[in-house]
Amino acid sequence: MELTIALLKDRHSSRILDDNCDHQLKVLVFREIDSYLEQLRINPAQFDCVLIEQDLLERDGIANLSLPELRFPGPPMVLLTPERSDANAVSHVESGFDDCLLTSTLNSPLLLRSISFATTRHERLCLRLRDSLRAEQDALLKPLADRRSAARGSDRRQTPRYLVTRPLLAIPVLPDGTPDRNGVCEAFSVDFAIGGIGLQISNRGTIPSRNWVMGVECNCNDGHGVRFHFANMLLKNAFYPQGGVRMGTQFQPPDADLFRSANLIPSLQASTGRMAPGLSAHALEQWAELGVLKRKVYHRINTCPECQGVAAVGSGCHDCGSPHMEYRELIHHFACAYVGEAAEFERDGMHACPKCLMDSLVAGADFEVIKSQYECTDCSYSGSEVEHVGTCLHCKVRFPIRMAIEEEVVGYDVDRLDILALLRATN
Amino acid sequence: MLIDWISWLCSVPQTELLLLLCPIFLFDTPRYLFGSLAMWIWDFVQEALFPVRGKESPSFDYCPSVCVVVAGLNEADGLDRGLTNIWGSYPRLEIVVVDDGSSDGMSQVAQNFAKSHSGVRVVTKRRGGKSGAMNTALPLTKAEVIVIVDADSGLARDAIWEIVQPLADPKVGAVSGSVLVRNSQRNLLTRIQSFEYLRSILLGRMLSSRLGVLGIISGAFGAFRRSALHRVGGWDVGPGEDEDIVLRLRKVGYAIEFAPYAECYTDVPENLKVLTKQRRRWEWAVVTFESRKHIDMANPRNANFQWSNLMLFIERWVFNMFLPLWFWVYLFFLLTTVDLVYFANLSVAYYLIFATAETLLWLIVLYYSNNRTRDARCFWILPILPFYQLMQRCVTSWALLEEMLTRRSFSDSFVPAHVRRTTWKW
Repeated sequence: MELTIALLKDRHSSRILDDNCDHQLKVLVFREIDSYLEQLRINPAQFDCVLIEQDLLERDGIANLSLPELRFPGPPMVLLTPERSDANAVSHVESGFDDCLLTSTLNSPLLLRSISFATTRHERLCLRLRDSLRAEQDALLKPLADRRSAARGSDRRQTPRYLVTRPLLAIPVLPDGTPDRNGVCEAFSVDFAIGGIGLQISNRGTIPSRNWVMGVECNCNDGHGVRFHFANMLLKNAFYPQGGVRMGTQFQPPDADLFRSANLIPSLQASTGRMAPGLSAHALEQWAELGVLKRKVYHRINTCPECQGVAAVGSGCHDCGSPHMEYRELIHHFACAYVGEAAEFERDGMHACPKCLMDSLVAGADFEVIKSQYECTDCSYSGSEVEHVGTCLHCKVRFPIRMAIEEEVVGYDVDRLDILALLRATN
Repeated sequence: MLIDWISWLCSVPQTELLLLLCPIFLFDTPRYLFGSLAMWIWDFVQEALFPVRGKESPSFDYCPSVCVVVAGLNEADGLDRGLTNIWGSYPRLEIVVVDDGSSDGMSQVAQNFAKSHSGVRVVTKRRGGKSGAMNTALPLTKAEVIVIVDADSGLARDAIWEIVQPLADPKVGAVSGSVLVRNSQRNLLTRIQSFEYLRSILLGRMLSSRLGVLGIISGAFGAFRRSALHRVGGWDVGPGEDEDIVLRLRKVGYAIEFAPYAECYTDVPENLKVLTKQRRRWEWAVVTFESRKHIDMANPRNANFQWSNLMLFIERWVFNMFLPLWFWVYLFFLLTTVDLVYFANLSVAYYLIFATAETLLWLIVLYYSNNRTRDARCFWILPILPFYQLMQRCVTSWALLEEMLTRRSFSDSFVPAHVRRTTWKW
């Protein structure tokens, strides 16, 4: 397939596309905006894409390309800039360009990819403009009836869509929760919404799964630079434009999300008595190998020396380890120094000393309670020194905690896609 | 000078000399001397007639269950050594350590010991005084005999065996151990106290016990029948709780015995200030208990009256209260009636008599001692002892007066303030 490109070039600028020109591209060079517009009026659909040098814009004093006659109808426009600045690139896209390319890093694959992005974005913008115009007309004619019918759309996303083009990593998920390594492909987003993502995958003719994990390249401003943030998506619709797949996806509901907390963070598994995440270890390792999940040690726990089940650790009798201990409450009467069981001091609902017979004793002022002794109801041992005892939650074996096996409880963490943050950053 | 003194002695009429020397009884030495001499003669004759009789217990027939109570405040330093010394020295033994609100990690030391030694319990409580700490152990044990040991004291081999033997007699409620000085070689003061302990505890309590008038069990080492303690409700608030408990046991009819070879080694004060404070506390108890709290024991019309208790009280009143104070009257009389030369000659006479008496006591101590080499080393401090006694007489008089006039014992820091506020002031 051959693409026809209009290159709006400054007279004094260097040869931009000559060295990097691909045989798939037919490039028509214009050194004046007016001549380009003249050519466009003759045949508006003759160009697949327009590349404009920034120098030309500055020379001709064209600061804003949002003029409808320049942008619509017309091909997508990509700005060629020598400045390596994200902020400038964002401002250029906001001012009306569909993409922005750095001239110093320009090469054929990048140019093709950029043209592809720009085309998709431009189509969506045109579509949106058409839809909004149509909606305005319809609202004037039959406002109420049409709004009702529009709300009935079953699979359509009801939330606003934002045309954001981002590189994506699309990973199909197999039924057992493992990634389909052969199906991993690069893609780019067409639009974002609170409920889902529209994306396009180039060079793919089939869709192996309805369940996908999408990684969106985001700059998190957290010092780690640009990296992928992931979300589990459900395929809602797909069509096949030339040379790829256009997919409409929806975020998985929380209880079906592959990366929900229960699947990643270890919790007690009743069947095994061990701490593990909900997803199988095999699946988690495969996701970690792909770089989607990050391994993390959540706890170090004491486990049963018999079955490695999780042990509940508590106090037990120093002699036999039994948890059945009754703490003895002693009362020390200050005035006569008598110390006895609390029950000895109870008389008619008040405290009275059995030794000196002083009554109406006040706690703190007249006596103190000493609670340091216990008596084991199993072995009758009495003392203050308790033993730390572990009880296996699986096999119920009781053992001194010093015999327990210390084990790492491993979970996984994922950089979740925050759609709102992404949109905020984009705007 | 010696000739002058001898000529003075010869010049004094015999009746006048006897009259002047009568106040010799104002001091402790004659108090112990005549009784100890009588006891020694009796034992000597007995031994001569029945040579089989030995000094040490021939066998340990009685083996009750024993609970050793180690109660203390900030005794972390010597505790581990003390517990190691006690643990395993008796077959039916349990140990209860009561930390009375220490801030030096005493409880932690005890806990560490308990982890590696069975039968050791540790109780940590808010500071409430030594009596409360010792009483805390009582509900926690079912042992027949409660042995109290100071946390910083060390027991001799078989000390617990020795101290429980008199309790085979059900009439005996408590037994006093023999407290000896561990740090006797530290300085002159500790050496003097070392002999003082031998004289007043080993000989004095042996004699008192035989006469049935033993009225004190040292807090450092003593054994009590648990049922007897339960009957009197344990220790009362101190200071002087060790004397108080004995008087209360005597009041309910129990006999008190002394086990001379149940030896316990303790550290005595190494300077005069601490020694003075310790002795004042001891002397306060005489006023508090024998003159106030337990005065009913000397009343013949009392239901629990016993002649032995009356004798005990009379001995205490005379030797511990009347004579120390009478000493100053006598001194005043001498200074106002005789000239200085006469006074000096009389003082020399007194000194020689006391030094001779101390020497005799030392010989008797050696007779009863089971470590004569150790006790023989006290010989060289005998000449200094009369001066030490004079100093102690001053301390005793001071303590008696402040207790009689101000009830000083009830404001002493030995008992924490919140306990002092609630207890009775006898």
